[in-house]
Amino acid sequence: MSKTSRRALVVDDNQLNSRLVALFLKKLGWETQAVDSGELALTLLEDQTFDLVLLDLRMPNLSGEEVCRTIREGLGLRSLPVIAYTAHSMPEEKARILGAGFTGLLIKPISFADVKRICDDVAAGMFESALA
Amino acid sequence: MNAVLAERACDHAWIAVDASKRTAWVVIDGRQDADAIAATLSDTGWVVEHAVRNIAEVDALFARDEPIPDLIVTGLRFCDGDGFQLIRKLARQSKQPAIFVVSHQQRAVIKTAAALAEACGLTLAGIAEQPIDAETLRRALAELEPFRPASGRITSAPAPAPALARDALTTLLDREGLETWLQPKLRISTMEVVGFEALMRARDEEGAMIAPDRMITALGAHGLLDRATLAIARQTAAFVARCLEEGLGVSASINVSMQSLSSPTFCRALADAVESVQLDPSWITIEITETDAMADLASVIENTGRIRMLGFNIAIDDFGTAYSSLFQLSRIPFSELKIERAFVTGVDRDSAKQAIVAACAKLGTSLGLHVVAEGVETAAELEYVTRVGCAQIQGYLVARPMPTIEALAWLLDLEDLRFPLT
Repeated sequence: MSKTSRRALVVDDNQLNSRLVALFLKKLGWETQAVDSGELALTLLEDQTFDLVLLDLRMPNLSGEEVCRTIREGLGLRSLPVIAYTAHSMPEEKARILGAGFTGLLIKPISFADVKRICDDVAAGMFESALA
Repeated sequence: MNAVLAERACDHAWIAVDASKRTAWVVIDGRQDADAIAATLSDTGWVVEHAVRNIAEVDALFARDEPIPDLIVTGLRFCDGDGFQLIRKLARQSKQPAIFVVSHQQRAVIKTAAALAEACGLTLAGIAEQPIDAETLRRALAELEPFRPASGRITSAPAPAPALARDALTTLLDREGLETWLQPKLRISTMEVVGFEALMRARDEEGAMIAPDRMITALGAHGLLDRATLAIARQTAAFVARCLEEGLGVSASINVSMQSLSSPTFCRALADAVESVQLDPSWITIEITETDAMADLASVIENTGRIRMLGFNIAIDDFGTAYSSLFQLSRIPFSELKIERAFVTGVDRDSAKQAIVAACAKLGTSLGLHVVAEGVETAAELEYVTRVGCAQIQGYLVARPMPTIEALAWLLDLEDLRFPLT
């Protein structure tokens, strides 16, 4: 793996999901760190740098939306792309999720092309300009 | 130029019979038309046994026990009745001929007669609009294969085997004889295989397939459908989990009846089936038929809400075959709408089907649902359903249903799950 690899943090309490996403990301030349709770994700984000966070909204304890709010406000990582990884949702739910500070949505069940599109957007700096 | 309509009915499977004995009757009111059609039939290799002009003469043939022919070419207006009556009478015979409708009536009327014939279980050989010149008719008739209907709907075919009895079904379940067969679904925009529909199949103790229609209704009638559905759910969940382990991101859907969904115990068992293989339930979609979805609103909302709360996705299946209340549709937490195959088959050649498919696709996408066209078999059908906004397709154009082990091998053969159709 080259030193210039981009790094993603995958936050999902389901191991099959996080392993699949990690496999997709590896194929795209990314490194992945996977954790199974929002608390662990916040701890890691305090002292490590990531280019992308994929965050499952349906987790016990700390919900995805709370984690995202803490990333933005508590940790001050306002330009870090944080993608909500969620089940099919109604249009008004999508608006609410984006309003909670998420950069984008990845609707489950996901495909390789979905993850590639997110990665391509990150690589192209599309989210930076959107958040600037 | 005459607006000539001469269509070969393509929706049926035909199997050849002895071509030298293709028999036909002509039932046409006008002598000239009848003679011309009889002559054309003879020229194209048919043995025209009778040419009659009205319903009473057909009745007389039946009364004399004349052998029913392979084909009846019929008009729609007679001095003593109409083609609709004739179609009804034919449907009541011990053996039904295929029918070919030739008429001066408006196209809408001819098509209605064709629809009646199919609704009665008759095989439609074709339709032609008069005035039709001999050459066009000759072409339409010559294109007909020597045939008899291959479907089991016709009573002259061997009678379908009876539904399995309760004991046989229990034995089948006890020996875990149910098999999950999977038919892939393709996302059109990326040409990725994104999932499968799981279908219930079974083999008898000799290993021969049991026809699903001998089994599924009977399972319901004997109160065994929950158990059978759960068996399929467990196999399906194991398949999806295995795929995810292999790095293949595919979902699957399972057909579930509203009656099953109304049982909290069943729903819990369904959740257990996915949890036992550590599968996130959002990889599984529960398909309910439109008819089931349109039952008592409060029960349907309760049952679908519960299954959604457990994390499953929900699809409305066979959309377009029942009578959806649009209000009710908007109240149910669906994620996917599957357009009934009957509207997709031949959609590129039928303006009524086009209107229905386009409206279903528009409705589904407007409600934020994934719209799936079922039964896509040709490139022309794919082109049409894509144009009107369907997101996914399912059908023989991609693949037929296959056992789980074959489905896994089939997926592993693809590159990044892409199935190039063009």
